[in-house]
Amino acid sequence: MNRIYNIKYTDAYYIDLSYGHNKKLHKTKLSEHEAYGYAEKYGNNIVIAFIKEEKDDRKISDKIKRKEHLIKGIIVPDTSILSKLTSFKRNIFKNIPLGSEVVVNWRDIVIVANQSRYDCSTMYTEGVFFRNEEDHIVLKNPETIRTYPTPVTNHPMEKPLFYVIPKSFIVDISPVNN
Amino acid sequence: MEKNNLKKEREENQIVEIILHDDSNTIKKYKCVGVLMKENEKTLRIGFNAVENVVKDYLDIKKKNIVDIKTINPKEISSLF
Repeated sequence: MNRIYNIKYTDAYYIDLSYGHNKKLHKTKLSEHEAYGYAEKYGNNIVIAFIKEEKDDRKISDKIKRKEHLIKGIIVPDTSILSKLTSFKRNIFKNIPLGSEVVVNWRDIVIVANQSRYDCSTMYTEGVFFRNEEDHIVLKNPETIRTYPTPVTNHPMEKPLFYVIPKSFIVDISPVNN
Repeated sequence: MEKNNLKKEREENQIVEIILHDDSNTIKKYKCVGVLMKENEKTLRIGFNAVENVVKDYLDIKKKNIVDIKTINPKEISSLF
């Protein structure tokens, strides 16, 4: 983990109550994120260390065995890289009508400071399938739970108005069974 | 002047790698890499990441804790876009 990388990626985000309840949602797009750091791919995660021990050149698998902390960095899904966003034009969205209640399981970026953590969070969101764009979806009235790592928590704690999720982050999407 | 973007293509942005130690431990050394954002008499600020060019995470480093600092040639930086 010694090579210096410049990484461009995207992230999910939510639109909270401060936007205004009755306001029409503006055009949504994914934002461009960029980072410098010492990067290593670990499974389907990319670990970007901003700060590390000077002589540390061990692989992540060794660090996990030794329960070593990542001093400061971020962990992103390998599918969050900008060039990969539109290569995930998957059919899983095709048969789900807009306006229907859906459940989405997806992987989220995590910021780490002094934790023995080298993989992304797993999220579960229920909401109304509001928009289906080329590289992202929008869920209305979403309720999101972080299911990994434990403890399971709401994210955010207060329900936002919308959640914008890159398609490349999504593991699966299905209609809610009433 | 503080720089708030991370574009390595911009001439004024210096990507630096810093070897440092913290206040409590002078034996263990750390290193970090990022954009040199600003510098004053006692500290310098290094930016790690940005959203739409606005830096989100950064570190203010006391100059007395810096062991070494070097400017990184953009050719030494691998890209993952």
